[in-house]
Amino acid sequence: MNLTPLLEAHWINAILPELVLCIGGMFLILFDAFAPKARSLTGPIAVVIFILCAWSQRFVAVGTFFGGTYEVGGITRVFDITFVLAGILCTLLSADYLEREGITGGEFYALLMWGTVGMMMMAKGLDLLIIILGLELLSICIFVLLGFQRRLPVSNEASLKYFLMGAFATGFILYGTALFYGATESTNINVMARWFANPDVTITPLLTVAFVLLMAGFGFKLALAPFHPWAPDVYQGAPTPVAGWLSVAPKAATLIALIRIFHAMGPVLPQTKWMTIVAWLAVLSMIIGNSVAIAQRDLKRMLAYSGIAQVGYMTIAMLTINEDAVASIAIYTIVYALMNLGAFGVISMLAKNQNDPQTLDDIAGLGWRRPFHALALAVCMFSLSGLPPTGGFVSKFYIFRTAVQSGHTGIALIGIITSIASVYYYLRVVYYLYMKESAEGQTRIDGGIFATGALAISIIGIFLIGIWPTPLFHAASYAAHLLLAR
Amino acid sequence: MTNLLSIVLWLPLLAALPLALFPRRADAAIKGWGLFFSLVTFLLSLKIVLGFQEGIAGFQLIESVPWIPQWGIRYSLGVDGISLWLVMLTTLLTPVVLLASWNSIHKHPKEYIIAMLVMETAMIGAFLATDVMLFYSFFELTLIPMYLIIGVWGGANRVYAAIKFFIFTIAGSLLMLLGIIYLGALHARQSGGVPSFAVQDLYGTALSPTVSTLLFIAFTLAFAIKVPLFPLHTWLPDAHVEAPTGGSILLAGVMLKLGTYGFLRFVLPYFPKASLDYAPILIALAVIGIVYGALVAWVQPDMKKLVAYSSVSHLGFCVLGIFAMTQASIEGSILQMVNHGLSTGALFLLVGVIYERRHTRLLADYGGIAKTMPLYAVCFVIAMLSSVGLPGLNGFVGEFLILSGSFRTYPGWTTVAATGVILAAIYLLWLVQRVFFGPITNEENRHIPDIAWNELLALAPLFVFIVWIGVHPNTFLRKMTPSVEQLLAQMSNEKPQEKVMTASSSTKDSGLRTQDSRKAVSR
Amino acid sequence: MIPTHYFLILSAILFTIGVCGVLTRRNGITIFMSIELMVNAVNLTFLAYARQFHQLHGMIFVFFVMAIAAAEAAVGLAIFLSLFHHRETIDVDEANLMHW
Repeated sequence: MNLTPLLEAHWINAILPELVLCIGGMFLILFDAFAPKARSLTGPIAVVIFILCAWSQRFVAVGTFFGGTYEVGGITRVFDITFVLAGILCTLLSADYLEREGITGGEFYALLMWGTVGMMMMAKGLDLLIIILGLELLSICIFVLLGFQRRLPVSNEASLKYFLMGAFATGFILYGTALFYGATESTNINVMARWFANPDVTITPLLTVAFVLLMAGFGFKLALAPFHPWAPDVYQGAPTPVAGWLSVAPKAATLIALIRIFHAMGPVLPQTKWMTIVAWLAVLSMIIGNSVAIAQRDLKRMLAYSGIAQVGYMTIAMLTINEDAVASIAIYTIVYALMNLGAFGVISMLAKNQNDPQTLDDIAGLGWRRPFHALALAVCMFSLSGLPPTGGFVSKFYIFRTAVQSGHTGIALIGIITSIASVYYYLRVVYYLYMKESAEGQTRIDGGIFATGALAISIIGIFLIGIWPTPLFHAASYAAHLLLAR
Repeated sequence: MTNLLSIVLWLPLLAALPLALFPRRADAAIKGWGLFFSLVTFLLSLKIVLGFQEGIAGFQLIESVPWIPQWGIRYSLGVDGISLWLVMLTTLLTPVVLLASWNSIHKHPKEYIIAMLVMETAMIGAFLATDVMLFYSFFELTLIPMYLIIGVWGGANRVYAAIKFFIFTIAGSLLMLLGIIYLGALHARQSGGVPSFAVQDLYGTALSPTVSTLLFIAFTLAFAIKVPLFPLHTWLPDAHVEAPTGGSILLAGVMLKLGTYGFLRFVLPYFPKASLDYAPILIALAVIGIVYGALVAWVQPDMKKLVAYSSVSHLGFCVLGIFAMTQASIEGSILQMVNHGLSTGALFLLVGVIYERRHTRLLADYGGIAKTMPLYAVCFVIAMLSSVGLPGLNGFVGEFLILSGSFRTYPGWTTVAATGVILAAIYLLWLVQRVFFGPITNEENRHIPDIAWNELLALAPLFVFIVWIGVHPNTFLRKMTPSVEQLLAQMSNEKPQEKVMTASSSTKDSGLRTQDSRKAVSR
Repeated sequence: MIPTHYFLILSAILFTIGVCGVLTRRNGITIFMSIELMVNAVNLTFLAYARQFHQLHGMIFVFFVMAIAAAEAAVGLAIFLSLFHHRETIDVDEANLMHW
């Protein structure tokens, strides 16, 4: 590591969004402690802080900072927006959810913000150390958020499972990093890239082991099969808005980190079987996720398995890192954040004991009781299954198009076939919404103004991206171009 | 009006949006609103016919703006001789459906009308789109409202039927999506990195035989499920029997035509070689479907199921005509698509009428109702005769053209297919005989109110066209001839297609490029 | 000087022991201790390489890894405590409210 010019000019601008969120989180905790009467304001304040963070993107300095360990560029801005979007949606949903569950706490939103900072670090880290630090910051926030409903045994259990799995996975990532360090003499991705670009480089079995360890660790975080078993349990037990957030934002952060790593390894990938391993992970995820989801009656578990499959789709695009791959993943994660948080949002409004599973029966006949909420859930489902004119269609199309153009038609075919199966379980939700009669004593839907607003953002976003994706494409492909131009 | 097509396309959807805000109780206002706008759409679509110039093979009334420029996807609309009458059929059938279900939809009428209007936009869009991705978007969009229409307003077993319908069709269309992506990627590579999904740009894509065959299979599967072709038809009877009357009419009348239309628009011109190679198989399946559908229809105890299986049989004729690949057979096939929409639409409507009154569709429950419902009986017989193919009515023209055209290329199969005409006469006459004539065996049948004003009004335009096509088919055939000629020219010599590609990709943004390139082909 | 690969073999063994511990033990704290063992094996690897390359980089990494492990321990023990409140056990097999 080059230690001399540790702080370049404008370094403070480079981490402005992170600073806003860090300070905002601290402020919220203090606000919560010193103004207990105004606790109902913490949610709105959190939203404002997130918006401030998004706004601060305007002043961000672009370039490499902190001795070449931190890179701010177009793509990190796109991902920052994704993280902030997920944060805002989760905050809005939580504002009503926490109130109904009788939980107060500025620290909830603070943890959300610091977790977001962790993700931003992962996206911007140009050194494996920064990526791992961001990952850990994120993970630790998630451990606490998952167990936030201290009195609920399921919440505790979710937290425990994620903690053990997460720490275990971190061990793998660290060991993989250490082995790569042993080969490349650096953990800096740019330095590693130069080492990999050297034509004389030989790929020892040890490096393959390191890659497998790295993929196992990141696979855990992404809930890629066969590292997925934690996901359904954790989603089911977690506070629902957190589950929704967990299912999208950390995945986006992990994917962008992986993109950087794969890009650095680019020159040696053709002579190794590494991408075959990744391809198998993708195929397994699509098959397992989509087939097991069919058997689920618990909505959150179903979405967990669907999420496993969706990550499988995103992984297809990563098999060859090019501009389209990066842009398609960036767009997919944005759309995925909108639709998955929308779906989890409706589930979070089910007013029932959170210890009990939230099953399909709870939403029976919702279409005629709460048209708007049912519509939101239906739109999210159609988008998840990739039907036009939703954002889900556009983003899935992009993924498969990228895969076909890079010559992975076979894997794209598997993706298409498994997504036929996925249509079945997504449609089943719509079936319960509109074609089932609601029974006596049906679970109420308890949506306040914030949560309903979050749903509105989701629907509008899904349709907007589905119908007029061009501006987003421009931004994403330009950013991807800049990222890969180095 | 320069963007007439866009107006016709989006008007139903735009009319559906404010409906969501209507109060639930304002029943008549909701229905009136829906009917009014579907009628306006129909009247506007008449302007398409008036503005349609005969003698031009390519797309007309073209509109084209970039939609997703990064991928070369454009929002481009146009009509040609192949799609013109199918668009008209859609705009005609929607008000008919809304009128016919004026009194029969009691559950959630507002959502029903919204679904119907969204459906109309989706179907019109699929026929008008001249960009493959735009077509695909509308093609898939039709599934959502139809799924809801069957699933919410359908019969006892509606959910099974709705999900089966959805899964079958999406299985095919997702594979086609992969095919489209692959075709688009190939085209982009061949045109030097300029992606395009315009229908006529992709015509020129050079394909290796293997790729061509695989893509042919992907496309054919999607459309064959939609038509539906013989072994893939099992979703159709379920969907038809469970769907509400309006849903059945649109499903049989228009949605199935998306399959046959897809064959004409995409499969034949994109994969001429593979189409020729595999035509015998498809023709065999079509003919099996004709005979099988007729035989199964014959033994159906349920009127609606009978009509549904007759659809399998009739659509078999369309596929036969398409893959026989002669001028007459293809024109007959297009005409038969319209005919089937009219006559089967009328039949479904009439079955719905009586189901409304007696809540049974079993043939055995009826008998002699011509005495209690004379007007109804007359209507039913007209629709039936049209479906059978009585000379002087529309069905005859279509079937005659198909059979005479196909006989030239596939005499054996055509002879077998001709028995389908006879079988159709048998099962439909048998149906009429058992339902309408003979003594009244069931006491409940003595006092059935005759057909109502709204139902009669809905049938009237169908009958007008049934007679019109039967008496003077040239009004309709004339407009489609150049397009079909050009399609066949494209099929017979593949060489000039490279000219198409270069011509169209160089003049990317000129609206006239279609005609230019089309002329290049016909020269 | 002890060759680097001695350290590497030792750390690989330690890491494997840690993984086996995680997979076989059922007591939450023991599992966590096994994870700590894995992390320390990583530290050893980093230090061995850093010594071989005469670099500070690997050593700095170790400091951060230690900090990470400490933070994880703090949160993890709180989670165990909370679970113990409900169940009076930290056996992970008892944490089975949801289906695997």
